[in-house]
Amino acid sequence: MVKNYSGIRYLFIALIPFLSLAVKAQNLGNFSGNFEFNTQFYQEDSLIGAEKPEETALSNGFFNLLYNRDRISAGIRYEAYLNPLLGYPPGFKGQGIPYRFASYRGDEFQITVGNFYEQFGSGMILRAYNSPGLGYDNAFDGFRLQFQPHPAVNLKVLWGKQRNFFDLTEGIVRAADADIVLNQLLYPNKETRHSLVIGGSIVSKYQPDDRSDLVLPTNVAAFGGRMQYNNGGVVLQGEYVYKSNDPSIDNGFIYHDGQGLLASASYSTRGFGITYGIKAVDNMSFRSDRDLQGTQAFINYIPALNRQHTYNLAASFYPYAVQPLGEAGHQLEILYTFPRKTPLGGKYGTYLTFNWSEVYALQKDELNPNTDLQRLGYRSKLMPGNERYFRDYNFELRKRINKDWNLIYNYVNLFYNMEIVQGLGGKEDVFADIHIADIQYKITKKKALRLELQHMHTEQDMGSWASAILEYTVSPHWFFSVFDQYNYGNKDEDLRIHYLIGSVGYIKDAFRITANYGKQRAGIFCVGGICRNVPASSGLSISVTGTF
Amino acid sequence: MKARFFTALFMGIALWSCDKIEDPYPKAFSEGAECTTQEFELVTSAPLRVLLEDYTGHQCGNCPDAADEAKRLEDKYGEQLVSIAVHAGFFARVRPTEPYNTDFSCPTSVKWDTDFSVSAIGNPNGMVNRVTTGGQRVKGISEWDATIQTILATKQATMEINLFGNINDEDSTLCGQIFVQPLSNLDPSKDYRFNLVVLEDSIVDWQKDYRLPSGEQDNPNYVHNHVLRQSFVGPEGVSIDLASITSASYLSFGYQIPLNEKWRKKKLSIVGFVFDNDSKEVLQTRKLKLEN
Repeated sequence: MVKNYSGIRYLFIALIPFLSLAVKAQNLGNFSGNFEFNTQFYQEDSLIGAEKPEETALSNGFFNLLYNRDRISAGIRYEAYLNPLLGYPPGFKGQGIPYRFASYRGDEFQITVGNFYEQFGSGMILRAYNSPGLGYDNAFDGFRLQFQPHPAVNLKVLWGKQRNFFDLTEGIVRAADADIVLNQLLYPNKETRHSLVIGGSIVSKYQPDDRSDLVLPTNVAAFGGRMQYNNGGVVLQGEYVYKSNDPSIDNGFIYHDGQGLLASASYSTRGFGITYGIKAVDNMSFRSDRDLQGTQAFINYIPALNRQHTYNLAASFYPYAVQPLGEAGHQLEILYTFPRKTPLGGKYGTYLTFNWSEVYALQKDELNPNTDLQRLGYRSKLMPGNERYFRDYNFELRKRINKDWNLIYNYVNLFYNMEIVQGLGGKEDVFADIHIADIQYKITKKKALRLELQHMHTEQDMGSWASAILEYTVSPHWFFSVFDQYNYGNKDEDLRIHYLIGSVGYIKDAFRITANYGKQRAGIFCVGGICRNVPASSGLSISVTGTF
Repeated sequence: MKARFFTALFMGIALWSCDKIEDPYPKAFSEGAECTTQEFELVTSAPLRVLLEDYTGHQCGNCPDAADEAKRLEDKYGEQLVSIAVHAGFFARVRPTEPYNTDFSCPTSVKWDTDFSVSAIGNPNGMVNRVTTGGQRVKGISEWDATIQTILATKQATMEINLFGNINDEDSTLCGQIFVQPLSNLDPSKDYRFNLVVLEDSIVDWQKDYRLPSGEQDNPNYVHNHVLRQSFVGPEGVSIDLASITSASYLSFGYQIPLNEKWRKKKLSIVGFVFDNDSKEVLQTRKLKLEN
């Protein structure tokens, strides 16, 4: 049975006034927090496929309150989705306090009860985090012990269920992790330029077997080992994880083991850096509920090994979504700074970044289902197969011309397997060339203009796009912008539409309010390789954020 | 002391945390288990029965038309037609609150719907014995009757199926047993499989119905019949070596599954069918209403 929060929620709410009185009386401890409120008033626009929901206006909001005093900290987060903004999972509908915790920190240990986030290594074996923009929150609800018996040794043990909207998952996660700084442990008094950190993790989930037609493993374990070696500018990192048979709706209830490998080597010195990394994952979708899909109940996180673009044409049309069921890729990144006072460096220096990444399907041989009595599904190697999922080579140039002018130029060349990455059957592969110029001009000490010009050429999908943003900032309080995306290359002339958005924002200390009005095209929004679909919309949106 | 505690925790997690499954399929029950085993009387001939799968969803406003057509065909063909309502796909999606918060789908319905791409084409649609005619396996409502007629007119039963099932109140389980008897020598190169599924009738719940007046098309009192609830053996079915036995014998397989607490015992039936796994064509089927 899935537990709900209501009892604990009321206990916390009941405790807050007493906690507050105690603080006032003794003037001990402090409160801090932040909040965010987003609302959108929708208009129907049949041309772009924007719908007007029954409610006309929808909103998402949260409020975090944290208390700290000496060795004790506690906090709650109230969330309300009334009803969730279009594009967010409808399961969020409602409001409540899905996050609350208390923690005590001793000299060598710390204990946390309630909700907490955690990451072991790169996250391939375990990572719980919150990304409100994605509608992603897989916080644990349970307890966590952290113990440091030696300055070079960190141990963690956790036990809990995971958040599933305003409920908890059926499965229980038990996990332990160790990190040892080997050189510090072996030679505690010796200063050295080398360092070697090794780590290991065990994660196990329990979920009852609810299928009569299959014998499901009720306990599924994963093991991971990792190392990081530093020597001056050289850093070598590696991590390998293994997961035992974990049939789930994601993998079609096959009993194949899971594996993941992540390794990188980098070298950096003044003005120069180079990093090369490889990644391969096989059947590593690891959730605390085998029947859940979407972004719910992930125990682990597969890191993206490609550049996370920020400019809109490069970031929002064809972003890569990690494929936990199988992929193999690599990435090379080179950074170089032309020093100041050289012909190419000029007065302020010139910054260049080159990045290249590719992702392929994993090498797999499907097994004949008629003879595959163990339901293994396929045989695989942690090697790239033939089908390409994604490729991105790009470079960025950053140049400050003088004290008033600043220039950034990006070139991005993408290959995007839409069928695989977005799961859109029948869509052809996309090849796209993107040019981006970001020009900033400081008019006076308090006023600045920023112009972003972007162009994407592609023959596939919706064809070519042009985009421009003009932003005017009056420090420290106001900013205004006009943003247009124009699908001038659409093969359907009726769809050669301008998606125009006007924005105005006001900032006062740590408080910010922004209003946007216009059309938002349908697309995909990703953070770190985790994505959600964004439907087309039209109307007015208001966002209020603040910290205290 | 603390270090020992943590070491013990680590070792504990490592010890109990992993179940390695070598044989993922449950074993059929045998004599001596809680299920009563039955014997089946051999026959020399049998009528061919046809399986109609109606792929549907509670949010599909045109689907009640298909359910009515299935009912009409059941009345027309009697025991020679077995129909199943397979809820899956977009129109079977579940809302967090009423209306449409009952999940009528199950892993088997979802897998069949995906494998045969039925809801991808649209609902309502269905399959008749999973046969492909005119290049199409998935058939619209208007084609169902003609396809059944063609099958019954052109084909004969090559095997007979019998079923037995009982509900155990003591341990809340459901037993199902299928007997398959070849009626002639069967092709040994074929991969014959059977499936055995549970259906539930007369479930009163929400259904979108475009035949009702505008504003009243969300009907809370719709009666859902022969809803596929679960397969005893999974969506892929189980291989049987039918060619190895003569028509004077039969193969029998029995399974025991937990009785879902939401199912109403008096409304349950089981359906068994044998199919050719290469062509997917259903070769024989039968339905048994369970008694409690």
